[in-house]
Amino acid sequence: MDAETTVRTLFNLAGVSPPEAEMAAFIEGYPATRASLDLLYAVPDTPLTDGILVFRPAD
Amino acid sequence: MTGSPQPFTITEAAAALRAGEVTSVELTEACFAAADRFDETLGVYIKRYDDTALAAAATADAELAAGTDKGPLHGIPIGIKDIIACTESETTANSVVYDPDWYAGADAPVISRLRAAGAVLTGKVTTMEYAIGLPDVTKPYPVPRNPWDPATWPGGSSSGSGAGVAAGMFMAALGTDTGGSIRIPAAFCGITGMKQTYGLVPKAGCLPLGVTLDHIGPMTRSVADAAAMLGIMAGFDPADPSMPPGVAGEDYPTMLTGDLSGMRIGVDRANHLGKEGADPMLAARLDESVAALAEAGATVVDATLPMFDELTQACMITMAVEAFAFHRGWMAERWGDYGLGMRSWVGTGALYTAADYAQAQKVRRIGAAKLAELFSTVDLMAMPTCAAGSPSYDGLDMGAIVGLIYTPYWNPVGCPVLSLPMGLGATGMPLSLSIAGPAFADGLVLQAGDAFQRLTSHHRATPPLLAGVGA
Repeated sequence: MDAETTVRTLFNLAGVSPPEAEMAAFIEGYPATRASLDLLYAVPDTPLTDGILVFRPAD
Repeated sequence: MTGSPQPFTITEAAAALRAGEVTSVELTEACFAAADRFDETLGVYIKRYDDTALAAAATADAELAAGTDKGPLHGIPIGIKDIIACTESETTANSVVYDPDWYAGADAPVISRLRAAGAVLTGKVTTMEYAIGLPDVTKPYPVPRNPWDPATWPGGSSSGSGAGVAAGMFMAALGTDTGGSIRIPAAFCGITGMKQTYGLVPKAGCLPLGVTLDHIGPMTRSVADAAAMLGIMAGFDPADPSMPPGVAGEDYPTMLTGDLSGMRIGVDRANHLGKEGADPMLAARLDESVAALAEAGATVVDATLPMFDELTQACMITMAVEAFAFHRGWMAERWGDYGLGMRSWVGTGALYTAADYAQAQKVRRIGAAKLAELFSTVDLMAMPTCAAGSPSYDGLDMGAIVGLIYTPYWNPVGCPVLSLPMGLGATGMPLSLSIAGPAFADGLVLQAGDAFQRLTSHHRATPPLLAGVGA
């Protein structure tokens, strides 16, 4: 899916409708957004992968 | 006032109050006089509490005269960032999109603690909208400006807190920090700011930006003042579920010995120097600061923070997603009522997937473990807070700011970080040193910062505006 379709779809799913000028800026910036995520997915896994959000049923 | 000059720090004011050299009413009146003089230029206050503040000051004076001493904040004028609730007025978050009934008529726990300690609350001060973005001149809120040069941004998001302390409009302030919002304005305004360990100070009654990254912390003129405030603010409150049960602060002021003998401090130049747009004086100021830490007795070694870019990105993603989750309903109905800077930033939270968010949390966990390994070899880390001083409003955008700040690294790992002045840069604007430590080593961080300030005078420098130049 290209950046424009993805960004419009994600905003649509969220129920948010930025005006076209701002939508264009989000679309333009989206490749950089994805690139920043690549950095995170490139982090090697370790045994400490249970996430920082801990669910405690007694809380 | 009895002929003595206005005390510069809380610590000095506390001594002067008890010596009968000044009254809390005089301190508070002096702060309001500074606000009368500078606020039109600096855009600090959203709401002043003149009447209730002066009444609280008079009460403090009477209590002190009667021998009732509530500690170091008794009778001290303090400003409040307007995302933290207090009974005197509603909490606007510097936005036209807010719920006037949220925490209406109630104090956030941290405000209750300041009030019980006898602090004098002078009013609510400007923030970037919901603690993110940049000022939007189309919205009905003041544009905060830096006392060192009103053509520049004072930093954010705790803009009014930083500018107000630097301009003497209050002796200290509460700020909040999700990716640097205490430390950046402290750096740009030439004051001291502390982001303590996550979960040490209750953040109930504070509008969230990124709930797993947010902190309420002190902004002051000295490390000793920050230690005094943190000692009162810290400790468990059941209203904040992110706090470890039973967590408690320490008697931080007694930990400020000035002696760093036996302490090993790592200095990270690799992630912090040589950046495009950096102040030409940055490396020299860092070297001078490191020399001062060594003079205080510390052993200083080179060290490199692990996963610097990854944790910085994890902060940005977590912040955007958590903020968007909070604002989604209002953004669906009132997008244009938010300022452009705020909605442009928070709107990106819609563009990440649940898996992206989960991965960011995993990276936080891995990064925290690697950082713990580093802190098994050094007690503390030191580095610049930002690459340069306060940027001009002319052409300012969030992208440029993000490129100049080093602060977001520390929020995903929750460690305590102190931001303190380390001299002026090539443009004459303040530069800032950060000192960080492992979780709950807040006292150690404060000890190092205080030792630094005993050997330097950067924190006592005041903006030219206060002398009338450029006023």
